[in-house]
Amino acid sequence: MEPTPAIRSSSRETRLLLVTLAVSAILLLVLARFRFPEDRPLPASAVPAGQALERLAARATYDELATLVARVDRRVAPSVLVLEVGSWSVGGADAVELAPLRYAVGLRVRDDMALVALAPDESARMLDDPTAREAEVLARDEMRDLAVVRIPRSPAQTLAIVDIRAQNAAPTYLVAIEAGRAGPAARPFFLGRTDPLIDPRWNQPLTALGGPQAAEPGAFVFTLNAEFAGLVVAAGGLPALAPAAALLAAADELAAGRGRAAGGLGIELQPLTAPLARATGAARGVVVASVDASGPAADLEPGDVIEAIDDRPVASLDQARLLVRSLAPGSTAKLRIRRGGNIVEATVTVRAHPTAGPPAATLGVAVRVRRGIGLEVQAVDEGSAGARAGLRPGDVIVAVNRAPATGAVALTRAWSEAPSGSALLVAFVRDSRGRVTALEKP
Amino acid sequence: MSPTVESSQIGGPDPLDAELAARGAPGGLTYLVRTRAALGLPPLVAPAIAFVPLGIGLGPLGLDLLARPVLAHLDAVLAAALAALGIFAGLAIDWRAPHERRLLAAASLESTLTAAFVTLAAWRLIAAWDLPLDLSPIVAAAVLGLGAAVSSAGHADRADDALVHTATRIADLDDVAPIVLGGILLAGFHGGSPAGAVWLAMVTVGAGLAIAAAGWLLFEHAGRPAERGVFVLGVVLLLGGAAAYLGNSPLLTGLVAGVFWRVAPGRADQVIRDDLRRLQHPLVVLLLIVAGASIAVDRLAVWLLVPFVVFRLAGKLAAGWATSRVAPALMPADLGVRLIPPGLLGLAFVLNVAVATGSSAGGAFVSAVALGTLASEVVAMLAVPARRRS
Repeated sequence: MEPTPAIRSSSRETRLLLVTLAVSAILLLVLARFRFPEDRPLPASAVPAGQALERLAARATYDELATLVARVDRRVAPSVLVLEVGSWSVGGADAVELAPLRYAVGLRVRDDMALVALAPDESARMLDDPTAREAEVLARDEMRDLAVVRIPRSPAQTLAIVDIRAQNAAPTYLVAIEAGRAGPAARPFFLGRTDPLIDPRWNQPLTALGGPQAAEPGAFVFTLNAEFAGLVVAAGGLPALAPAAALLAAADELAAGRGRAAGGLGIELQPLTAPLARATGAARGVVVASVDASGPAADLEPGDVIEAIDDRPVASLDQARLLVRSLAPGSTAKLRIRRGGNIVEATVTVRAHPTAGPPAATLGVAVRVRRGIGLEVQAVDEGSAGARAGLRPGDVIVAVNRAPATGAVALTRAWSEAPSGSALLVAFVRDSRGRVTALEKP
Repeated sequence: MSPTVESSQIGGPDPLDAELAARGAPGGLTYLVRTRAALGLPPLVAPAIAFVPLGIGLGPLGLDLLARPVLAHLDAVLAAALAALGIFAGLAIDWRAPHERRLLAAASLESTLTAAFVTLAAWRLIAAWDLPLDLSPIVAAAVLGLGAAVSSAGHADRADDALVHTATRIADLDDVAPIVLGGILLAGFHGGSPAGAVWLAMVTVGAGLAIAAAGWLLFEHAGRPAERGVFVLGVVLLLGGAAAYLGNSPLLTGLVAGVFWRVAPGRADQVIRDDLRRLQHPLVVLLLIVAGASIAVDRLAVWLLVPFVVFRLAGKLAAGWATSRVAPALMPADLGVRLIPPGLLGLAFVLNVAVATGSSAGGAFVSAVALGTLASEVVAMLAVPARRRS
């Protein structure tokens, strides 16, 4: 008897179904073992035709750029947060209700830790935190103005990092995540070249970002594929990109509680101008303006020209300051000094930079009375409360806590009677202009 | 011309194709005449095979005549096209006959099972792959599942082949459940909360009913064909525009309106069917060309393509097998095989999702589903014997 078509089709369908289900199951099991690869830029083609095709295929239209930036914004959102930054209570004093000086982006490097660009005299707190409590600073890298702060716990995302310079990615668009009152904001900017920039604070070359408008220091930078590229830092007054790898290494150090203080030598420096160059016979370097007699470089003299620090030539005042700050406190540094036409080598033991740390316990200001005017500052000890307040020799203090400064005793008595954790309001005149500062007492 | 063919899914068989096929195309060309494409081109197995590649050629990957700004301007027209497709799906439902109600239930069961199968499999993969999506993995998987759930079966060329008629009706009616579920999915996406989603879905359905009621009154009182045509066009535009404004699916508003006209007294369903038939092929062509032009060379689309095709095939076969066992007397045993051809509504739904959600992954989904539609058509050619394909 001939089988009916219904029976034939049923068996065929069942066989087809079983085979298809088996193939689907195998496909599911096999494909589930893979992970979707992160987008990475294709290597530049060495063939001119290939380069032309790559340009043709480049997705650089502004519409697409906006879409890509929005996508980056969404993808990095779990990793970034905004902190209010101020200097209201550094050093453990009670919190003072002040408006934040600025907003800063924090990058979540652990579930409860964020990396943020924070100067040594700054503290941070969560944006819109109703309790206005400061975020606990777990460790600071005062040399690079970085800190790791504790933040509310939330799962940290794994960040893919990219080395812009190593991949020769320019020209390209990057996305800077900047901080604002409303939260993090993504802003694209164009990177035309990847010129290296040597900064002694970083053990890897930075990438120059161009003019000051390119990106705001403190912003974290991502590629259009949401890969972490680095942090915008100020180098020589211009924005530069600190590479992500170095940044995360620094974050690991800080997260482990290994902070780093900036170095100091107890000297004041000034730039080598043409007249000073003729007078000293130096062609390059920076001039020592004053020397702290109790500091590590007490052997130096005003008028000395520091030409090199640790065999690294000094070309400018900014570079010299960065070099000094990059020295680890407790280490030794070799200075090449031009003194009276001769070259002198000096080895000094680096100490911590005086701006670091809690408020000083000493007033550290020597004054003389200028009758009918006030108290003229004669000297200011490094690391003292006077130095932290920004007082300089030559300033004339005219009032202390709103009372006329009629004598040195009035100043020292006001300081000694001030309760711990308070601050004295000091009005002074500098360059014929009135100013106000505060002497903080720990 | 049978009522079955008359109300069949747009993009599937149409009356002229049926006549061409009935006269008998030679040999292997038999299956190439399932649908006569628009613009007077020769009949093809499915218009997608002609017009999706045409869209690729005209789009950013080709001549860039349909550049992205142009495609953005076409979103409004696309909403109207989707609403028209929804209307056809709604008009295909016949509540009055018990047999038709059973078919609707069977078709809904089949498409829901397919959608569930593909959604679960895609969800597993998307979660494992850790895709860079701005949609949640389950929503992304559901988009693929619903896009895979619809079918476009071949037509019956022999009046006495009742089981083939049944398979065709199943293919016609299996759009309904995915359209409804897709509307709920989009309402959930834009609603913000369960209550918001329910409210948005109700508003969408209400808008469709209100516009359908207004159109019903207009059609019934239109004096001249030209006047009636303007009303029809206006109502379709309203259905598409209202859904786009709500961020929901024009397919759903169109479906609601089609069902309303089908059950409303008078001749509204016949009026809208006659008038929309003139727009049928241009709308299909527009939809397919826009889908083709929206295709992007995207790694995500490549990753999704093969799983979409394979899981859809398995889902269709499994759902067809299960449905035919639920009502063995009613359904052909090879129902699943007959439902392999994908039709257009899946592609239409994914285009709708891409526009309505604004997802950055929308282009990849459209690319995967459009290319998957082409691949599924090829699979259908190989899997469905010519004898069954008619």
